[in-house]
Amino acid sequence: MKLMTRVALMAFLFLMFGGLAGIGMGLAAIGAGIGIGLIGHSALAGIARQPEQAGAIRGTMILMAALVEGVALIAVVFCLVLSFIA
Amino acid sequence: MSPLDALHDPFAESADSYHWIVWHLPPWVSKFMILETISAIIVLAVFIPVARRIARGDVPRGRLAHFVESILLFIRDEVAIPTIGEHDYKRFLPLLWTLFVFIATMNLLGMIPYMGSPTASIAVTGVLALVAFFVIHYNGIKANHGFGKYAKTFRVKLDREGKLLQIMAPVIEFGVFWLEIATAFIRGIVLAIRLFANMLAGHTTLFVVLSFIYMVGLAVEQALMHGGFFWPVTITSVLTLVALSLLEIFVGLLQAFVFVFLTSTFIGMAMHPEH
Repeated sequence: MKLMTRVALMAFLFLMFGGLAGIGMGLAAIGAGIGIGLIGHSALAGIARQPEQAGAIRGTMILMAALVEGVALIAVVFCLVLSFIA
Repeated sequence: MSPLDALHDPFAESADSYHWIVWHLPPWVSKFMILETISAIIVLAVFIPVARRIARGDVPRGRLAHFVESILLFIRDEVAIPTIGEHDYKRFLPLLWTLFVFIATMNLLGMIPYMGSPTASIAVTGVLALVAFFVIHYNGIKANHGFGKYAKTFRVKLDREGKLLQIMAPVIEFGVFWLEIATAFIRGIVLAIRLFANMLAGHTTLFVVLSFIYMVGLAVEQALMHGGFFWPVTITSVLTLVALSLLEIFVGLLQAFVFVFLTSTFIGMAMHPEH
């Protein structure tokens, strides 16, 4: 019985304090991490192959990282709004 | 209800996040409007003297002129010419320059204490994206000689090899046509939300990191937490805040550049469609 009330209390607190919105934000962070990691990986591989193109590759990498980050941040802001309205 | 409701803001009577209490201003003037005006005045104060000097034909001298010139040449050479093409880029340079400098100033204004970024409001970024949207599609229509021809560029052609494609191709082409139209609207909306979300999330993160100090102080005062926690938390929070503020400055400039780069890419794609 005590375990059940404890689980019920934790579920209640989880849902009351915007728990699912927090999970959404965490998933968005995972997506951003994987995406920017892949971009960095290919940028480093390109610089390793042709060091004289390092400037152009670095600029493109920053631009792509900003675009991927934008998608993740859109998800974060939607979750933030959700956590306040629900 | 959220845990943040428990925070009592001592400045709440004098300033909520949307209005400064300034005497003799009507209530519909929001803080963001005043900050936008300040950004515009800064931009004009920097650029009008430089423009006058260029109109007189002087060679740029001095650090401010060189700085302005490097920004303008950067936008022209890295953004406008590669994406719009050699022939037509000159018409769009004033718009791209204005967008970049205005958005960058608005973003950086948020780093000054007690001011904010006007771009942290979806209304401001929405209007900027609306302007970009109209410029993109108006020039697309003009370059393709009419609205019908411009709409035709949204169609895709699949080459029908194989039995399955010969049956499914009309359906797919129809679907992708509407998908391309939806993409045109979604790109405009995402342009607004990207800038808004970056600025809002950055400042919210800074606020939350600072509020750790307040929360620990409250907990120590109400004897919920051991008093020894306060100083380590404060010092860590302030150091994190400094690092995040530097990141925030970088993100502000980068998002202004991304907005301008994407606008000019879409202008190029609308004027010279690939298919």
